[in-house]
Amino acid sequence: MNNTSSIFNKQNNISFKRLNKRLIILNAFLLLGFFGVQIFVTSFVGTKTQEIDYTRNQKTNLRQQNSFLEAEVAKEKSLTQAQGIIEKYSLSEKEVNFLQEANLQGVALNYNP
Amino acid sequence: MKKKTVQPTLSSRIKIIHLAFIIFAICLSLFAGRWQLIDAAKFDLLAKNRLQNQTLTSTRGSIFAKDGTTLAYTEPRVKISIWLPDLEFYKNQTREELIRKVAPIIDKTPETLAKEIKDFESQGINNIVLGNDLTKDKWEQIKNLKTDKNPNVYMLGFSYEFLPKRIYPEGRLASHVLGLTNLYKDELIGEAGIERRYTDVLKPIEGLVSGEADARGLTITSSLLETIEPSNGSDVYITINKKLQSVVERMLKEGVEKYAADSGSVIIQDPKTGEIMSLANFPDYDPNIRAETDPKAYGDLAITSPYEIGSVGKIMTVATAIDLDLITPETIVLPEGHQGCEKIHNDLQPVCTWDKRPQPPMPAKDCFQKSDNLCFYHIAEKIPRKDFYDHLVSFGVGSSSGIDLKEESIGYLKSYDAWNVGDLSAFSYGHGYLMNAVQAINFTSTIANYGVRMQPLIINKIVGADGNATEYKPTVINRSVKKETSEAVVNMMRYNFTKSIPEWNYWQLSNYDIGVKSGTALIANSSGYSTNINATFVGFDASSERTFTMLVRLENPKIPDYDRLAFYNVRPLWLDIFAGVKDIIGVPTK
Repeated sequence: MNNTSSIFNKQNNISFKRLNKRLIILNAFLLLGFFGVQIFVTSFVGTKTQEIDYTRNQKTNLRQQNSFLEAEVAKEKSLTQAQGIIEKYSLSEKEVNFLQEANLQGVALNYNP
Repeated sequence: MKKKTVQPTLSSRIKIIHLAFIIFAICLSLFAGRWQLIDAAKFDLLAKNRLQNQTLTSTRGSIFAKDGTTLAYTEPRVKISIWLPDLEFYKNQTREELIRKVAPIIDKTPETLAKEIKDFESQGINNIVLGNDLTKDKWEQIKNLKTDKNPNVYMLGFSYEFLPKRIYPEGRLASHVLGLTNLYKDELIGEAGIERRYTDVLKPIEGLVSGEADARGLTITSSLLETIEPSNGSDVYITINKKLQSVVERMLKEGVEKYAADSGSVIIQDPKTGEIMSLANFPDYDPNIRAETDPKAYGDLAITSPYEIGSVGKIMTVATAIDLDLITPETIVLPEGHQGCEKIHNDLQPVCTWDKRPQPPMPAKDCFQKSDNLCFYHIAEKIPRKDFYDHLVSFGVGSSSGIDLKEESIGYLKSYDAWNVGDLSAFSYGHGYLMNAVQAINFTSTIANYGVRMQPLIINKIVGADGNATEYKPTVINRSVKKETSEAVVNMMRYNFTKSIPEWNYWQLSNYDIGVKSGTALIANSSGYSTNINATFVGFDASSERTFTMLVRLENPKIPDYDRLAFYNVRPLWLDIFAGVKDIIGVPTK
């Protein structure tokens, strides 16, 4: 009876050690897999963060610059600004007489095709 | 003696693992409980801090004159702040250095700025605003400041915020039409004029970028939400002719000062389309500065201030009588003439002409030219009251002119079944009902436009941020009188013009085909009427081109003091303005 029990215990010990070994190997594989997947994901996604932040900031800055420029254009389109240019370059108003377009009706043209 | 080793059995090992799992689960539950219940607020805050929302600003739409030149636009201004604890954090720079370099840029001395910062610090305020209205140039100067220690390193510690500032580059020009804005919660809100009426159209749409950040503050890419793009407000083009407006405002100011009036208004309208080419009031204000203390300066008196238009209303009375075939311009209204005054009812004061002088029998056109109140009372007597009422309504009395501005105040017209003889008499010569100046010019334009009343048009087009334009087309309100009636009234007003310019300096204006009418009305007060007057003068191009209608009003002119009738103040002002604007409008000569 004792003999039988010790044999059984021995067998249990052996199978438990084997199970432990297998679990350790499995854990090692899982750990490797976990880090592998993390490296894979971060290499695809995580490393773009700075680029995205940079592009986003660039976009915001450009938008801001654009609103400054729009304001500048609007300012330049005002009469006050035109008046300033007139004063700056000492421009003066002149009476301009445009030549009248010739009205050839009733005129005897000396023309022989 | 050999030591006996006790080998753990499989069941005892399983029990140990089981126990370990249970202990782990209990710990996990305790931690979860602590996170969920005790530290919930702390983690909630941490999570919120990881959520990054960035508002993308855009600008309010601009307002342009009809020729496309700018009347109002938005300029971004920069609010620059410093966070005091940060200043000690950066090792390349010192506080003294920052103060020394920033102070001249924000127009302060280093001593003043240092004192201000110290004062705030002593009150426990760490966030200090250096300036909230800085231009782009100043912002860039601050942004590009370098440290003394390392000239390649920028100074740090500033935070920037962009705020919109509304600019009116022409100052006072068309200030009442444009209105003004105020900054409320970093947003421009329209408070009057076009700025108020079209505030939702001009208003920009802010954008948003939303995402989560990691512990280092870097964006977690997978958490980025779709960006909501911002959109600028739409641009509004108004019908105002800037050159015309400029001349009108200058001459109105001179006129108000010359005749010592309390205020004045001028409106020029295209009678064919209803377009308001110019609308000016004086006193006015500069919407950039708003330094005026007189509240009157800020109101658009042309639409907010209804008044009795006086004899200008005779245009409607005579048009009604002619339209109903009751008289013609040649009809003798009083075959016996009159004595200057006439008692029309025992309970009422007698009706008198302006000079209270007897007149011989006159045709209607002379009654009109002499602005004879007694004649007009007897013309009105011939008109059935309901027909008179209906005509006044069809000319726009008692209802909105339809101008696309929010502040319009319209006068009241009593229902015809409640009229008494006093009302009839008052209505016949333009008293008893109130009209604002836009309503008044609009019925005058109706006569000029062959009897068709157009809606006063102030908006030309609206151009959205996407470039799509919505054009505003002229709109017919109604036909007020027959075409033949309008022609007859135009002839009477033309006749009036030829008799209106005795002065030699206006003789050159007789080369123009113009129709006019003046009106003088006492200003009512709480006890009846004061001795102050409102003087109004309307007129239009009576040539086939019908290029313009113009109304000029002076409130309480005190000069000339011997006679304050419209003939002596607002009439010459109208003629002066006409002489100044006729070539800009392109009024044809005869």
